[in-house]
Amino acid sequence: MELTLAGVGTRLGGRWVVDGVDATPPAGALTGLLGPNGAGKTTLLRLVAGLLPAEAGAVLVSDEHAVAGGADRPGPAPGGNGGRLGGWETPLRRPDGLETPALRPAVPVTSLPRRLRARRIAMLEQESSAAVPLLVREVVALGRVPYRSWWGSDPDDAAVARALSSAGASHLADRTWDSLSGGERQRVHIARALAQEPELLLLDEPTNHLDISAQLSLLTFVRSLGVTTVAALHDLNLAATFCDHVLVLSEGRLAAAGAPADVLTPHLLREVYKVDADVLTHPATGRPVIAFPGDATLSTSVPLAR
Amino acid sequence: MARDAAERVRGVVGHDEPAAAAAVATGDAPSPAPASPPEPASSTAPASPPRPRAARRPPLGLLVGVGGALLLATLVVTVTVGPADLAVTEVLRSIAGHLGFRAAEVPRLDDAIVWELRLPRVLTAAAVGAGLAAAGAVMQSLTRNPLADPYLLGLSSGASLGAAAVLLLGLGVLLPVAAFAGAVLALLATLSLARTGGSLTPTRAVLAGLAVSQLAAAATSFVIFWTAKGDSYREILSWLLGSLAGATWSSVAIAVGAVAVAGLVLVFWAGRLDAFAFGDTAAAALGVDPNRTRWLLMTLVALLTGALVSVSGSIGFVGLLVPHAVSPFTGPAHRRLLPVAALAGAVLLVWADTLARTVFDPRELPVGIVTAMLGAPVFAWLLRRSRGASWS
Amino acid sequence: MPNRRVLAGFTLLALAVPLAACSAADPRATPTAPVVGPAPAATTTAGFQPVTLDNCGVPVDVGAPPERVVTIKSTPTEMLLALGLGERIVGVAYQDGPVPDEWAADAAGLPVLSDRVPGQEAVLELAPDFVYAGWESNLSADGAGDRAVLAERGIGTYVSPSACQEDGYQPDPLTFDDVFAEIEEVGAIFGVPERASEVAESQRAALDSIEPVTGVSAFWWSSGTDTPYAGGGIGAPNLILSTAGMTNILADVHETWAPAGWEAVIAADPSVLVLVDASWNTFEHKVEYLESNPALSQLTAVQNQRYVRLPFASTEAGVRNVEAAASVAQQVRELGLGG
Repeated sequence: MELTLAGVGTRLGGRWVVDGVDATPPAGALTGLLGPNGAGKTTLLRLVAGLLPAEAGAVLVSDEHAVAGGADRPGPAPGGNGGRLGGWETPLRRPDGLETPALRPAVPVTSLPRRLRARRIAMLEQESSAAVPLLVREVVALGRVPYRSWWGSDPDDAAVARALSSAGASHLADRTWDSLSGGERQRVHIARALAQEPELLLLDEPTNHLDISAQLSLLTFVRSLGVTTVAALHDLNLAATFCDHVLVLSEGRLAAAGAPADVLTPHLLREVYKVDADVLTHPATGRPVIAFPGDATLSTSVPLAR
Repeated sequence: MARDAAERVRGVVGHDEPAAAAAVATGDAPSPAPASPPEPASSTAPASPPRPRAARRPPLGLLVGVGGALLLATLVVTVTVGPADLAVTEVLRSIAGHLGFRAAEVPRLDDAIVWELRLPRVLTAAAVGAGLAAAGAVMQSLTRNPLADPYLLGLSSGASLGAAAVLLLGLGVLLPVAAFAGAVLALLATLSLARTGGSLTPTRAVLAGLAVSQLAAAATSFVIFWTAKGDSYREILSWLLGSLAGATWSSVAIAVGAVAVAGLVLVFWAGRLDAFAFGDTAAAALGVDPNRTRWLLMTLVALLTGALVSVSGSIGFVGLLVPHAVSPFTGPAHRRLLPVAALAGAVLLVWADTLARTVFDPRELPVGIVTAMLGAPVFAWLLRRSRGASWS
Repeated sequence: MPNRRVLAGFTLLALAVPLAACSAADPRATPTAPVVGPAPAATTTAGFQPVTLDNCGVPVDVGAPPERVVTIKSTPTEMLLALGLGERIVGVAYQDGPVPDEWAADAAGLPVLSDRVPGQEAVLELAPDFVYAGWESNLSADGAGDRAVLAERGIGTYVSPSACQEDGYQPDPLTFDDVFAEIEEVGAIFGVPERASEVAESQRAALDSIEPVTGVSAFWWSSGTDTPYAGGGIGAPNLILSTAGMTNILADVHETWAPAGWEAVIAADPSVLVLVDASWNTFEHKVEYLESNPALSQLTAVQNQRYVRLPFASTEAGVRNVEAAASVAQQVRELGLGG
């Protein structure tokens, strides 16, 4: 899926939580969404998912699989490239009066019908707790909701099984949700997202609750899927290691965008994260490695009270 | 290109490659050997071991078949049971005669007992039980609260207020209308209290329902203690506890009609309810409009409950308990849960009502007492069984 | 759901409170009740014998005949009127219906304190020295006042003994001896024993002159609609019916009144239906319900319109029960039954 953020912004409670973000996460790659707490990462992900309407600008997604009128269709059309229908080729006018260039044929994500959107975009939130005792298999089956007919025909067991196995969670299939550890739950959430067979994967802090080996294998796995993925991460080194592209948010605005090596500089870290750090280069991969000194105090940082 | 990516996802998802699986080893446990399929070596799993359960739940057809057969058997048995000592053959002859089959003459009074008292009563009980159970299941999902019941939005309190008012004004004939009107007014009050800028969050709905309930209950108490003369309070008490004693064929029509209409709508919306399991954002991400769905379904539940309460008073525990009792067998998928819960609720209430009208023959208890007496121990048992469940 | 339970609990509690108040183990009940009534110098009857009795488990000590009485419910009011004590009534409350014609003149001037159970302050405002109640529950803290508390204020209380709920005090079954005993007891309390004996005698005579009917069964419907509140086997309804010679279809139910199921009534198919006429559930309402109900309209009694009508006040134990029994017998005969 081609994804473009065109000057997108929204207010919550009067404040611009996301403010004029322009970005083009590369298709088929893992883009890291970075920034300190409160920078607007979760809100931006929700805007991209179409769960929040943008008050300014738009989130545009490629239109290859929509038909005229935006009717629901079960999954991508077999064979051939979908027609370029319903494209939006006029330039977008931003609130500050500047025009962005004419974009490739694309539609605002909020214009897609909900079910179609749910078949193309899968999102994993940060906090989630189920109120009912579900089996893991049933949790993953929720990912098939956008594909079900009106009565909710039997969930596609084959698709559920495939999603479970590719997420490496088949052995958990008959466990109850409450009996899982944090890492196992994250694994099952990924399986649920995979069951949606998405073209765009949005992950909000997926590496929370995971130990280092799980964090590494999760991100390796996500990269290997080859789906356009935007993941909010708080661990800079993980982002540096795995992301092809990073977007750094600071107080709702895009502070930097580009390859990790270009973006993650000590200057940026000082400006956005308010920390002093050195950026080294990994001997084997050539990727940046951020090294924090033991005592990272800075004149502009707020010292912790003793 | 996007399509390629999508196919690649399906491709990855479609392969059961040990290598891919092993690459995503269990997070907090030691990594198994790469070649073998990952075993659940979760040494850090919480205290309760995986509950031993059948690999699959019983298929829906089986559950519905068993439930339906049970309900039919229940109806047939309970219509032959009662304070009047009627032979089974006589009962069946009476029913057959009314249905148009040729049957031997049945004494006028016995016929009246069967056709005008017992049969409408068991049918109403079945419909009310089914409706309350389904409504309870829907409310529990909409509010993500296992303690929700159909009366959460202040419906039964509003209906009680309407009923008490007409009963004490001596306008008993208007009871169903007044009760329904009371329920609807309570719903409107709750929804307008709960909405914040057009959206209806589950917590606000619950709290608003509580406020309206308390207000209506206070008003009902006031009406009773202010106007009740002599022993007329008994009539209201009977209604407040829920009673099917006054069931007639028009009650059957109302109850069955309401359940049929609501059931038809739920058939289309059951799938959407599933998406709420992880909250509103997840539901939206799965393609369901949480706000609109919640508004529509709450209104539907309110109308259904209002209709049921207008014929039977506010019978408790059925809506709360039956979904919990049934979901271990059906799972949480609403297209399975709702029909089975409805059947179970019907069976439960018919038996409860039969107990209410026969155990203390010739006296009669309000059926709400029986459901409470049955319900409380069952609830306790359910709590004990589900040690590992999410109520902890 | 909590609100329904609160309501039911409240109602049960309101009924339980007077039971608790009446229990002999009530710590607030003084072992010897304070002597109540005005100072002996104000006796209006010479040679009054002070009375000590156990009324529903509460000791009542009357040192002088009460002069200012508040009556709650109809049976106490009518009792006093029958004993010619109307001038001593300073307030009536919670009356169940109009008094019979013979006392209408006396009753006309009686101040009505309240349509329902009065509150304590309203009662105390009248400065009574005695409260005579028809139900135990009338004398509770949220009613006219707790009996012990009133006694401490020098106000005597008395509940119609047939209305006692506790085992040992509830007449089981109620007989006319119990009813007449109350007349004598009240006479003693108020210092008019001879008048009481006269009234009791004339009632006995009237009782003896009742010719019971034969071969008639009856269902006694007091109130309620979908679930009728009916006369059971041990209370005033059964007494009236059996005195009139009729069989109560609920005679085996060991209660004064009980909620019945209509099916049991249809199964028994009684010869007549005794319909109590109360302002909150009228005779007409009952008839209309019976005749419009598809099941009940099949009852023999409904098809032949065999209804007996009694005013509510005469159906609780008191001075009108004999008259009620006679009326029932007469009405049955007028319907062409009973021989």
